[in-house]
Amino acid sequence: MSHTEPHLPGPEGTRHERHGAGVSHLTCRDLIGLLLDYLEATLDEDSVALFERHLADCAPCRAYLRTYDRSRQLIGQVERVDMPVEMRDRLRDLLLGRLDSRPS
Amino acid sequence: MLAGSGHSTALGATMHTDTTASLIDRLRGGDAVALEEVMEQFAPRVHRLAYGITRNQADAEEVVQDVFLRLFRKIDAFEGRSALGTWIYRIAVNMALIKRRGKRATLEVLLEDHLPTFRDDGHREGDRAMLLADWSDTPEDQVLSNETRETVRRMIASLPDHYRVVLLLRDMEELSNEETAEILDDTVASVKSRLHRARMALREQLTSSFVLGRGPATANAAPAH
Repeated sequence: MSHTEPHLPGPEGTRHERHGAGVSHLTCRDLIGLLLDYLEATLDEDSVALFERHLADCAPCRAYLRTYDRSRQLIGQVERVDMPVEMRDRLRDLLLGRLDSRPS
Repeated sequence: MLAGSGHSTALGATMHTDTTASLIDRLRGGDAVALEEVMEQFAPRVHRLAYGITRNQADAEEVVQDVFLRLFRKIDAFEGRSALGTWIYRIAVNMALIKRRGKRATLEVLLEDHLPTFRDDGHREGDRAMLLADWSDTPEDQVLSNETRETVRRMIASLPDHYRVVLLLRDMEELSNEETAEILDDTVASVKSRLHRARMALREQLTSSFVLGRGPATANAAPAH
């Protein structure tokens, strides 16, 4: 990806206009709508090309993509809480106790 | 370029292999070793998920115990129509949500208040610093500061239940969209929609925090690469 000046929304937004029946450009709104599918690699080839073309020209969307993906990772890193050992022991004792008391 | 973050899950693999008839049969036969195997495999996950939903260790412990006692009681009726892991997660979600109801201390956030907004021409609205803020390269020890952790936890805790559960199953448990949909008895499209909105809301709050200088790094507003 080339280093370009940040593309901030201009008053006309002409860069992102759609042309004809097919879509030749994505808007920032379109791109953000496709973000999850892009990250999961479930977009078709044409959509990926449109997505990446927009991304190459749009610094705000590049920042959005990167921070969205980092936010996703943070959830896993922050929310993972280990089960306390004593809690695990209590569970084991409870279940094995029930097992022992089952009629054979 | 970021791509390919989608996954068929490592956890997913175990969720499907653990339906093996032998493990179920051994559980039905009261095999203590089989019970320990299932506990080792699933108790930490059930606890993590239950804690994520209830935000309370005592409630999480009750959920874990209830899930395994139910498994213990109902194993004879388990027909294997879904994987054992899916079945366990589904019970855990339902029990944890029941625990949470009536105990909500956190005001739920209005998700719409934290989603990106757009102008008529499709450009995102917002000031320059927010639009260009890219804190994704912030060093790990800084981005995982207590303050950021607290922001993430507060945000997740304040999500409406049906968003939080999806976020936890997908981004914490790393299950697939399909597995999550099966656990929640919902459609994949609905799971993806809720996941995307929840992630966007979290991203927005984290970015605000960084841009306003309360996070580990004032946002880097340099042009992205």
